[in-house]
Amino acid sequence: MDNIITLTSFDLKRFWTIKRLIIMGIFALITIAVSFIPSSLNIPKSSTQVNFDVILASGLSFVVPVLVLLFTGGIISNDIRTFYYRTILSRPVSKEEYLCSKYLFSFINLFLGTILFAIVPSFIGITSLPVEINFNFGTSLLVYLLYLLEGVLFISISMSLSTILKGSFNIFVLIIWIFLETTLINGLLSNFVSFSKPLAIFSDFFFPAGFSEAAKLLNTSSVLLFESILWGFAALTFWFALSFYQITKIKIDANMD
Amino acid sequence: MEQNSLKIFKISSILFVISFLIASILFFIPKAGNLSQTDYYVAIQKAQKSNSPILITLYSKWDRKQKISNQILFTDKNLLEQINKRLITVILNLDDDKDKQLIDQFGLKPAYSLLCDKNGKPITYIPNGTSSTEYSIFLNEALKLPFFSWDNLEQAINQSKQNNKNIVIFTTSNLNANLSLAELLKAPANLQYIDINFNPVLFNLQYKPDFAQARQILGFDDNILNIHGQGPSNNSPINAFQSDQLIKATIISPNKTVIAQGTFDEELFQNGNMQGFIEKILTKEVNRVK
Repeated sequence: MDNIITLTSFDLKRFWTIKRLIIMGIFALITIAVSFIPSSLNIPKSSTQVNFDVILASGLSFVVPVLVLLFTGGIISNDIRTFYYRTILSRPVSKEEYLCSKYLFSFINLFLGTILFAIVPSFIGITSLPVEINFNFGTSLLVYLLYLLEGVLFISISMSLSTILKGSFNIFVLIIWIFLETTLINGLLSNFVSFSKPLAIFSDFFFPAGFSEAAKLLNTSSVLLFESILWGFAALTFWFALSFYQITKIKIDANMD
Repeated sequence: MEQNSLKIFKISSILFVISFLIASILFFIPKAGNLSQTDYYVAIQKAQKSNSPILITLYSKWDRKQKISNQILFTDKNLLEQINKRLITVILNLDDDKDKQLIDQFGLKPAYSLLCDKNGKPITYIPNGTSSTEYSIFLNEALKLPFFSWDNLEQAINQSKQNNKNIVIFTTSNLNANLSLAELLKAPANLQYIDINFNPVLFNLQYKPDFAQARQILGFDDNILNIHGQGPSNNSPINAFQSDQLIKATIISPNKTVIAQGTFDEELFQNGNMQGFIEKILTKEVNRVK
């Protein structure tokens, strides 16, 4: 465990250079400033009821994939290319400790990023809107946890891809995948999938989105909610297992170039 | 050291298999929200008795996105109350061959629900989505359309014999044209003029029975039938709402003789004066006879 913490702190120090901290700080300030805009527009008071968890879910559905794309580009392949992987593993550090530290590093970034770019702006935005707010702490917390799990799933996908692809190509593949899900599956095919069983199943399982689907279903407390969580969990364990399998296959002196 | 990685791999793989198997079993449990289900033909009988519109939605056990949408929308208490109070609901199963014929006939798509009048004629569509508030707003607005209270041709003829008013048939090329017509009728003066002077009937050319009746009344070579009357089997109501719209008003006597007819023009859409348009086509017909 000590090794994992030490490696994670190394990674955090390596990643969070002053330049990056300033850029992210500016982005965070812009996001928070934008969330104040509704209050400055003098919108007349409306009787519409807005659920905080719905606003939070829509924010997280955008922020979580973006954060994972930002923090996990070439997460393993770049270490191999720069011989950092060889340097680390030539010390008394195991491959699973190395991989766990990568997971921890990505999760910390994801956790802090979601607070800064999703929770705080959602809270400011919703309190500055002239609408009635329904705040349910339990539901909001569950929505957040489900999106965090979705984030960990994306991290494990990105990590697995990074063990087989050069440079930041893992991110490129993930972007194409998300793009196809948004445009092809949710856009073009959405009207036709039900008319063909193979197409419907292809559309259902094209992209692992069980946790985010479960977040949408939280208020319905149905079998479908439980099923969605299980699909999410199945996808998470699959990619998690794959990343650990792949790491055993990478030789210490491997060179991805 | 690598043995630990493999151990984690094995544990994760076992968890994957277990969750995948349970999820696969749950996948086949039928779920479509809490909407009450009525057979389509029974629904028409019920709707005619209670004078209620019919809401048609789709269900398929293979399409998770649609199941999720149905679950979110049709478990919302307020929305369900609103639907149960005002509508007769039909859930058509895409996996059922009998239902598939109806789905093809209506050209229904999973992303939409279809709102029909008491006779089963498609009036408008409602995008399903995953927000019950949005769906409820769309539904409320859709139910304000005047067509739900209009009779079909046979009923209008009977009515006409009793109240000595002629029948005005609005023939629309697609569902979007229905909305354009409704927009014109939104002006209270227009709707009032129609209600006072005529027995109004809507012919939606994308609905098979209406298409057949329109051919009888308007003639086989009528312009609107030639342009937009390919029939419901080729041109579904949902597809067709994107194409050009055409609306025609035909005034007929109770014995189905055409008195006057005219296609809605740019001028009518700009000034919104329905009375002026109807009087114009009536005068034109009088002049033509003279």
